Amino acid sequence: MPVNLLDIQKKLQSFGEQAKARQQAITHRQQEVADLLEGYADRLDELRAQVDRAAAQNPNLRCAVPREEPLNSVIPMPELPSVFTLLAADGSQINPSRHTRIQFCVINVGVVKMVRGSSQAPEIMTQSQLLDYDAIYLPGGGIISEGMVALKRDLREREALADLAGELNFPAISMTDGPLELYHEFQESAEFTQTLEEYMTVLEHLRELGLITLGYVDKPGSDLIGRLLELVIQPGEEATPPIHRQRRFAGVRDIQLVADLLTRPGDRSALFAIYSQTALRFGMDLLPHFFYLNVGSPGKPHLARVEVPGWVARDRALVGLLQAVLTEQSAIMGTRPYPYILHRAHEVAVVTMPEQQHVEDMIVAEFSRRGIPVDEGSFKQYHKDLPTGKTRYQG
Amino acid sequence: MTEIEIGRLLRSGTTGFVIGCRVNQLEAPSFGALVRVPLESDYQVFGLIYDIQIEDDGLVRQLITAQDVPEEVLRDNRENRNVPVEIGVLALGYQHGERIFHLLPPRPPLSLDAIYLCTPAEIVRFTGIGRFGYFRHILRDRNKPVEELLAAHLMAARSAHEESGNADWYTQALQELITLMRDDYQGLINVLSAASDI
Repeated sequence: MPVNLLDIQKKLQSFGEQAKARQQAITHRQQEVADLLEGYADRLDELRAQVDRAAAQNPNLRCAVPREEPLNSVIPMPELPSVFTLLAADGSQINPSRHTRIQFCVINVGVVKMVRGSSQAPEIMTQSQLLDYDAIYLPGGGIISEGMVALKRDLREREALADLAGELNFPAISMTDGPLELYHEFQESAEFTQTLEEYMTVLEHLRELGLITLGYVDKPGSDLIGRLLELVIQPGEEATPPIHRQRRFAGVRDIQLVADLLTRPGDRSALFAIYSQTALRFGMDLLPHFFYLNVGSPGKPHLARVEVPGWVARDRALVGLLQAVLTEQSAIMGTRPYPYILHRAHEVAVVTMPEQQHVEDMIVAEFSRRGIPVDEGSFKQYHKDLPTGKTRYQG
Repeated sequence: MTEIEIGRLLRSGTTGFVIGCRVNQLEAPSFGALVRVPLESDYQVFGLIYDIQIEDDGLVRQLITAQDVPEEVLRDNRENRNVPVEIGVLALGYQHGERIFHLLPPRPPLSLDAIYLCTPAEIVRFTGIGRFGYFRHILRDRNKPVEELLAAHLMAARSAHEESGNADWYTQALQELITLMRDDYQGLINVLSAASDI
């Protein structure tokens, strides 16, 4: 059955009106936040004290914390060094599915290592991990969730960077796509805590290797600066339970606040620390910090959020290096700036449907050799896989 | 002489086949070069490269829009990425045992068979047998750049024959083409015009 476009058409007018009303409300709020940003640009001690007060009242507080730079800072990028090493890792996974003949889980990580200035082709490496059978089935019944698999994948990405770094031409930078802070729904589970500890051990190891670590967020929707400034305009609100609280600056994204400031390619915003319960567990040296960076071209800015651990954030020279490197890497991709090496890591890591089928066939063959009975795939999946000429939209 | 493998077979038919190769293998094969595909110990197919296609993909299209592409990125795309290069080959004949036939091969090569460039001695052997019977395979398909293909082939074969002491081969080849194309005046003029550039 095709989409009934007439039904959609009837709804379009009110949809557009709602969007326009929301946009006007956000524009109004955005101006309020921008004024606060200017007004509090140098009142950093006041803001930090406000965060401390709010944190005492609200254990789930999540916002930016200013460091030493004024809120409206614009810091240009320095020159790029002639030789440096870049490593990028990206992961993909085959999630266990009750519709396949057997339930299994694979985490595949691709790592690309490029020495800029060497004129050599990058090294390409992959690590594929079939999760233990016992790790798929939970003690309390059921199978491992997709969220937990994603968490394990995030960990494997960083482990792969440490495992495959090899000899480095310094300065050396490693990156992954997405935030440095692990942010998942089940933050209080024992498995999350264990994974987080392993994750921090790897981050510490990367630090010992002298490998600068960053997380790159394209088209960031975060509003951490807005949340910080909400604290000064709604100082008593933190006592209100979150479910009853109205967000004063809801819908205003941080990049809307700094877009007018970061006009030149390579410009970055002030550095902020992230305040959250998860971030606090990282300790000062690994505490996630972030800044916004214009990785676009002259006249066509494009802002990304870059997350770095505390030890990198404290060293302005290292942060400057990241600005220059990320701007250059993004420029390689021309009109759609995004770090080239991260895209390549994604290309290397991605698991295709034929590969997934091949892994499943290998496991089925092993089971057959051992006389372990193997189910049929679900008939629902069978019928879904029939060629119909129409496939689900894969946005 | 060292064998130069230029790629492996992607798909084939009786009249020709398509080779896939990596971009860094692309220095050896050239338009009009004679190649061979050994299938068994006593059977191999010969053909002429008539087309080299370098395909693009989404990333390459995006990189085109960049102002500068560093050397490392160029090499990454040429050596690491699966940028497909497809080489079209026209079947010209085959060797069975010690005999060479200018007939279409009884069966085509199979997927992933390795393809090698012919050495000058192999060119002399294949083109020096019989009465240029393989020309009719080249002339048959007017959708291919026949004149340029013949000119490129004649140039390579002439050089190989002259090195082996046979200076008459080129003249005999032209005479045979004049005979074969006597009813296609414009085509013949085009071939002779292209050959005059050799």
